[in-house]
Amino acid sequence: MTFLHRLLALPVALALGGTAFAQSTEPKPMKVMTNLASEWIPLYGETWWDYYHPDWEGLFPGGRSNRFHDLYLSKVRRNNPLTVDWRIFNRKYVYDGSWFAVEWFYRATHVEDGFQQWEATLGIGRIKEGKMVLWTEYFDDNVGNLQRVGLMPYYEADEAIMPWPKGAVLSLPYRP
Amino acid sequence: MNPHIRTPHRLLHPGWTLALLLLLFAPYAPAAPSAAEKEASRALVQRFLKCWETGDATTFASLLHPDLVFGYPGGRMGRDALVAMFSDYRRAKKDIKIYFGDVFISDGKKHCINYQFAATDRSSGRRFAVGTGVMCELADGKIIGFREYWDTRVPEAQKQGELPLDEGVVTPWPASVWLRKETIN
Repeated sequence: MTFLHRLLALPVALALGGTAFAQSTEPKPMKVMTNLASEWIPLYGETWWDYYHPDWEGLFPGGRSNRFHDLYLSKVRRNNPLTVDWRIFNRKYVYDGSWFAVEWFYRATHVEDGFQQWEATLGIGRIKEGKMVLWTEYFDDNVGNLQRVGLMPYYEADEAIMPWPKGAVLSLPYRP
Repeated sequence: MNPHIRTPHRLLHPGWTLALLLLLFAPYAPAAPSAAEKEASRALVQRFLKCWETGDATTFASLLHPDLVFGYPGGRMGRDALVAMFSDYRRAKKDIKIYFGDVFISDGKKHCINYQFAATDRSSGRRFAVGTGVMCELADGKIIGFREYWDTRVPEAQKQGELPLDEGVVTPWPASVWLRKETIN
């Protein structure tokens, strides 16, 4: 949920005088202009929210967004971040020209009660004119909800990425 | 001194040394598949998924590797369990439709596709249409790894009439829904 949490972080970063998020709406000089995802991700993959294309589109569990909707959301969410301490790890990339896909683990801490969620995500991105023009995330937001009520364990440290943790005691039938 | 004799000094020319180091320590990157290889992979994965719609259990089973690991939001299963579930599922649902998105990303080892799975529950008559992202691996011309990602909140909300179907448009949530502050966590 990188984008969603970065979005929420914007007002916090602004309040704290941070730079990364505050600059996300400003043009930022690029070291290298490339549309090859295999080159782009090593260069900008840790900071790609600084390099969104003006025409970018984001598709998430929860709905879609773009530059204008992003600005609206940053207004309505100002000073009210839900999560902090985002961690993204075990990234597994697939590169294909200007497209890429990535599976990763995501952890975050909820400000309200310190609860930590740990989910697996599949992201799909496309680079255009050297910037991220499409970003799509697929994940099951109920994983975090079930972890909150103690019905879903976290992933183990060395566990391979799968949609649900190996140690899940609950199971659901396929597309009930 | 004959300039054509390769001395140890020439063999250790900085350029050669750098090239060797790059070869030795360059990060592993699979060779990009040819267009034909990529198309064959896409066709196989789409053929497999389309079986949900056609009900072709024979083709469905024939495309699964004996060592398959199939993961979805709700659990994971092997080949035999998936094949058994396929027929049961077809009895519980009707009007199953598979809609493919524009995405097929492949590096020759791993493949990513997105699609929407729509079905109507026979007992309740309620329909759902869920955008799904897949990462998969193939071996011996069959699917050996298949990980489906979708939000389990979507079908339940659609069956309750709380989310639109927006059937036929492949997005994680129904395409007409814009991100709201309540849905960001």
